Amino acid sequence: MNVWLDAILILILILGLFIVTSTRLGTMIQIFSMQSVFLGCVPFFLYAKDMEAYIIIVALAAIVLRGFVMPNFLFWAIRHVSVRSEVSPFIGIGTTLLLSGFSIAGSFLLASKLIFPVSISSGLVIPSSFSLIIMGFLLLVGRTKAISQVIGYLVLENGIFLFAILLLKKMPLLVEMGILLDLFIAAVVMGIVVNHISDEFNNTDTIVLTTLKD
Amino acid sequence: MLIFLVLFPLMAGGSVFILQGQKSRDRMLIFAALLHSACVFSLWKFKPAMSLNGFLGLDALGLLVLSVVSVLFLMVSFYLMGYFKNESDLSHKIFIGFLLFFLSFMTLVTTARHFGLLLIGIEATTLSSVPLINFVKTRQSIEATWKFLMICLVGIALALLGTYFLAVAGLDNVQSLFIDKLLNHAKELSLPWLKMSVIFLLIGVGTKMGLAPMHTWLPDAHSQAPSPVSALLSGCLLNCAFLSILRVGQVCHAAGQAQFFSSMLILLGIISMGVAYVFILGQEDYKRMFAYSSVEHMGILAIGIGLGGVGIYGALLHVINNAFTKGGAFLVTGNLYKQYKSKKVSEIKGVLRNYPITGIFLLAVFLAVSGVPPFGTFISELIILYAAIAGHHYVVAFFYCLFLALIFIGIADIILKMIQGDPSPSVILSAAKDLNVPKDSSPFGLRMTTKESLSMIMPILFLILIVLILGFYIPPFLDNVLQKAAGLLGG
Repeated sequence: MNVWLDAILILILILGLFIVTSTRLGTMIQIFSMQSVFLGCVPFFLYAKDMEAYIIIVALAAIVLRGFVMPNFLFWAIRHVSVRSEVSPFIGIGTTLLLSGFSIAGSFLLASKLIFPVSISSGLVIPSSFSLIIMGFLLLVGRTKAISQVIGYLVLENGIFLFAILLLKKMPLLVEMGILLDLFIAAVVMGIVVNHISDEFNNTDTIVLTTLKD
Repeated sequence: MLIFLVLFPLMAGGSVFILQGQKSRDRMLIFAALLHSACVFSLWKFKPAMSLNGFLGLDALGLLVLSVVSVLFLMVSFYLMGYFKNESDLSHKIFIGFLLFFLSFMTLVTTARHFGLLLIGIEATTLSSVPLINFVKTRQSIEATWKFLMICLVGIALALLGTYFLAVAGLDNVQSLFIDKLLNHAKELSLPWLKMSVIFLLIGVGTKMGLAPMHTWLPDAHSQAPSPVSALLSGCLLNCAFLSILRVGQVCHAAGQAQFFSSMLILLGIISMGVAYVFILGQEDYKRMFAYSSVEHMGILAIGIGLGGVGIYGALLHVINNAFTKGGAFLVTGNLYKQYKSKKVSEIKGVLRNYPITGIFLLAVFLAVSGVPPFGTFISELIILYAAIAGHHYVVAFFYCLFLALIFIGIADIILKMIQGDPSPSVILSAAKDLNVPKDSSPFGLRMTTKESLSMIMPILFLILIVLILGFYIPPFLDNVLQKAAGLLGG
C-alpha cells in the first residue's frame, strides 16, 4: 500500500510541475483535473486499514468538485473569454521550473525539521503538500492571465487539502465540508469577476489592470 | 440568542431579494440594523450562553468588536437612505442584500469560538463584500475587486494552512480547535508547529487586516468602493480581522509564547506605519489617503498589542476610536464625492465656503484621524506611547512618534488645501446650474448654500461625537469591558 501511496504523491508532484511549465490554458486545466483526481485518491490509500464512511464521502466530494466541476467551470470560462494561452508571463517558464525544483528540495528540508505527532504511513505527504503550495504561489505571482492565476490558486488549495487529509480523522466533518464549500463559492465568484473583466477590457489579461497605483 | 443574531441578518438579506420597491428594501435594512443593535445592546446587560455545541460564544473581546460593528453598521444604513437616490432596481437589490449578508458574517466572526468557524466567517465576509466593492462597474472598480479577491483569498488560504498547523500542534492532547479548549491546554501544544501556525495565521489574517506589506488590496478597494462601503470595510471588516489575530494572540499568551507573537506584531506595525507615511505624502486621491491612514491605524493597533501591558488596553480603546473615526471619515468623503463628483484632491477647493457642514466635518475627521487632543484617538495613541516608554521599547517609541508626526503633516497638507481657499469657478457654475440660477449672476460672489441632506449629516455627527466624548470620558461600563478584554490577552 505504501508503495502505491508514494507513487501517487510523486505523480501529483510531477503533474504540478507540468502545470507550472505549460502555457496553454486548456492543458493546464486538464492536468489540474488529473492532479485533483489523484489527490482525491490519497485518503483511500492513507486510511486503507481503518476506513470510515465520512472519509470516503470527503474524498469523493473532493474528486467530484476539484476533478470535474471546477475544471468544467474553468473550461466554460475560457470558452467565454476566448483566451487560449499565456503569452508573456512575468516569470519565465525556465525560471519557474527551476524555482519549483528548489521549492521541492526546500519542502523536504522543512518537513524533516517538523515532526508530525502521529506516525504517517508515507513520509512524502508533508513535503508534497508544501511543494504544491509553493508551486501554486509561483503560478499566482508569475502569470498574467486571470485564469492562470485562478489555476494557481486552485493548485495552492490542492496543496492545503493534501495537508488537511492528514487531519481528516481528528477534525470534525463540519470544517472539512465548510472548506470544500468555500472553495466552490470562491470559484463561482472568481468566475463572475473573470466575466466582468472580459466584458470591460475585452481580455482577461491582468496586466491591463494597472490604472490603480501610487 | 447568538444564533438568532447571526441568522436574522442573513434572512433579512434573503428577503430583500423578494421585496419589491426601493422603499421597502430600505426599511428592511434599517429594521435589521436597528434590531441587531438592540440585540447587541442587550448583550451588554445579559451575558449570553454558549450556543450551537460551543461553536458560538461571546467574550469581552468579541462583545467589544461586535458592538463597534453593530453601531457603525446602523449609522451607515441611515446614511445610505440619503446616498442612494436613483439606483436601478436590480443593483439596489443586490447591494442591500449583500450588505445584510456582510453584517451576518461579521457577527459570525465576532462570536465564533472555534478556529475553523472563525476562518469560514472571514472567508464569507470576503465573498459577501465583493458585490459591494464592485458596485459601480467601472474599469477601476473591477481592477480593485480582482485584487481584493485574489489577495484576500490567498491570505485566507494561508490562514487555513495555519489553522491546520494549529490542529497538528494539539494533535497529541487537545485534538480540537475550540478556542476555550486550546486555551486550557495551551501549555501542551507542540512548539514548532505552534510557531509555524502563528506565522501563517499572522500573514494570512494580516492580509485581510491590511498590515503592510500585505496591504496592497486595501487602498484600491477602499478608494473604488462606494463610500459607505469603504466606511464598513475600514471600520468593521479590518477590526474583525484584527479580532482574529487577537484570538491567535490569546493562544500564544496561554502557551507562554507571547514574546514571539509580540515581536512579529511590532515589526509588522512599524512597517505598516512607514508604508502608510510614504504613500500618504502627496497623495492625489483623498479616499486613498484615508485608506492608507487605515493601514497606519492597523499598524498602531498591532504595535499596541505587541507592546503588551497597558498597551493592550490602549489598542482596544483605539479599536473603538479608530472604527468610528474612519467610518465618519469615509462617510464625509461620500458627501464630498456626491458634491464634487471627483476623488482628486486638486479638483476640490474651498469646501468650507461651499458646503459649511461637510467642511466642518472634514476638519473634524482630519483632527480625529491624526489623533489631535480633543478626540479619543489622542488618548488611545498616548496610552500606546506610554506603554512603549514604560516597557523601555525606546526604538519603537521613536519610530511610532516619528511616523505619527510625519503622517499628521502629510494629511494636514492635503486636507487643509481642500478645506480652505475660494471655490473654483467651474464648481460654482455647475452647482449654479443645478439650482437653476442664471449663469450671469456673478458666480464668484455667490455664497453657495446647497442643501446637504439630513440623513447624510446626522450619522457622521453621531460618529464624531462618540469619538469626541471618548476623548474626555470613558464610561465605567466600557472601561470594565476593556479591562476584561485586555485581561484575556494578559494586559
